[in-house]
Amino acid sequence: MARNTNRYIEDTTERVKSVAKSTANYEDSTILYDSQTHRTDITALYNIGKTYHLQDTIVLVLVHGNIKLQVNNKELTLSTRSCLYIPAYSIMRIMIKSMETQFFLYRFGEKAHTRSLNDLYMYNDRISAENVYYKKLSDKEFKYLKTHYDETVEGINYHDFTHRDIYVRSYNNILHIFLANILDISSEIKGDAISQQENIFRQFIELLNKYADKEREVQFYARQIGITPKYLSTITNTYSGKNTSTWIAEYVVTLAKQLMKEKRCKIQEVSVMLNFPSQSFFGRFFKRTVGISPKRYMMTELN
Amino acid sequence: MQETRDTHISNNKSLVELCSYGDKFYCTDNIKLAEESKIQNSDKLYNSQHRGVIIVLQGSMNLTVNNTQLKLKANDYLAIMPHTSIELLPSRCKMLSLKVSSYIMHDLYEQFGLDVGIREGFFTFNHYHLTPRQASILAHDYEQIKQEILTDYKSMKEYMIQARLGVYISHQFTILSKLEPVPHSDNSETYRLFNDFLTQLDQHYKQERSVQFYANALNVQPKTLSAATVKYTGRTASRVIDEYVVMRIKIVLYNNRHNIKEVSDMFNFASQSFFGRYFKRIVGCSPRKYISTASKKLSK
Repeated sequence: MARNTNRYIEDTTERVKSVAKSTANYEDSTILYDSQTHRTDITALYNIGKTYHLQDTIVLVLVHGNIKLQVNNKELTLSTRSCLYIPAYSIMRIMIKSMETQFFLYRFGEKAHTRSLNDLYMYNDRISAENVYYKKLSDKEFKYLKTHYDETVEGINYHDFTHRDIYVRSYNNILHIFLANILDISSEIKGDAISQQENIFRQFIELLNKYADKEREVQFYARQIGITPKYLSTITNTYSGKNTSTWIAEYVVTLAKQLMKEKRCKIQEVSVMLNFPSQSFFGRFFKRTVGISPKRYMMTELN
Repeated sequence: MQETRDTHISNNKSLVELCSYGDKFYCTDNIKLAEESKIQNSDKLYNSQHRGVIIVLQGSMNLTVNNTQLKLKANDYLAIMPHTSIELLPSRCKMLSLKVSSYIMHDLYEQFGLDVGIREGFFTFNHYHLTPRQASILAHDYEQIKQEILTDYKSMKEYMIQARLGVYISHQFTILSKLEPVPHSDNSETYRLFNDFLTQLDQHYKQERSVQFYANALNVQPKTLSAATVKYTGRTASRVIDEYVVMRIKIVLYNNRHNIKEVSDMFNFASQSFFGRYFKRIVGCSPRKYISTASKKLSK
């Protein structure tokens, strides 16, 4: 599909405000809508058949009715009492909806969303990955979300509140944690204490992401973290059963395979891109890790 | 010397400790108990590492805090700082109590940008009269915290409890910002000395850990100072200093933004090994062990 952003309607705050009246709005970054307060239909927010390039993170809870929609080219059917999480910058289109729909919806601007992620030490990419999350809610979950929504509205609209920012922020955090739990976004999220060692292991993986195409020395990574190579190896062993140099070698080989397979790079190009002094050195490195030479690999894998 | 565990009012048999989460959050109340809400006499309880709150919903509650006798009436709110001893006296009331470890509180305050030190007002407790509506708002938030402690979560349970605590804090600050605390009834010389000592401690804990220093700063004999702390907390001055310093160290370790060497320098220890021994003597485990069990891990 050709990506022509002009075809999408930008879902800016101003535009939606003029169409549908929000039930509660805090700093234009936490905006709540529901079908009851102003008798708003979902189509007042998002027209049927139009494609929206969403700017905000959206949590939609369908109280009653059915909605069929397309998010990031994935088709979804929402039924009564279900919940949908759409990460920011998604492409969304509502295709069909049943006559009567009741819903409530949260829109989080970048400010509110990133603040929650920071508070909770969730990485951006974990919760707002490409993926759209969808779930049919149990009675208990539905009740929890409904109460959460009502209390958030109440707090935002309560007139006499000197610490509203803390209130809204806490409620946003509560929603994020709750969703992470019920939507299984959380397989990697560990809110509970992780050890210093695991911390180092994560640092290592991050560094590897960043430097694997330049550096293959264990010494380099250990120095970046500020520990000895031996200790780093102990840690990687504890957490993955592989020592550091194996980790690095396998990671580099994955990169190389990717370059060969997806980008159709020649072996010479790959060896330059991954900072090997020569093609023959790369060949030996590859063979030692994978068991076959890069040339062989290209022949078997790519034909 | 092992750290003596804090005793809490939940040890009182006429109250039920409904739930706790680690050594971090404790919820205690007698709201749902059918009996005539009698509270029995208790031994002296000591609170060194936690901040606590007592809210009386019905009836009246008699207690002594740091040897000062207090009568809390319905809708009264009592904030208790770390390093406080409490004694419950027989009374008839519906009450709730929330206790949170001071490093969690400190962390939340920092996160929210609230400019409040460990001992706001430098009093060991603050007493307020609330309206019934204000008391019921806080009681509702308390119930929510309790619910989250009782709920099973796959992950991030501690953050969930903290977020609920955040809601409570937003209400508490909104309510208390418009109220004046009830004046303290103890005007004795000793009480003033005790509070001045805590004020000094709060200012100098990073550099000084000797009783002599604080006694000099307050122009009294170390013996006089110790007598004052014994009177109000049942502990000697040096013990109070050690516990306070350790509490502050724990706050820093919990944040996990500094390595142990940095923390040791921050608190003016001659060497890292001396720091380790000091910590171990009071807490019972090494700083590194403490980090791996208690601290909040952020991977950057």
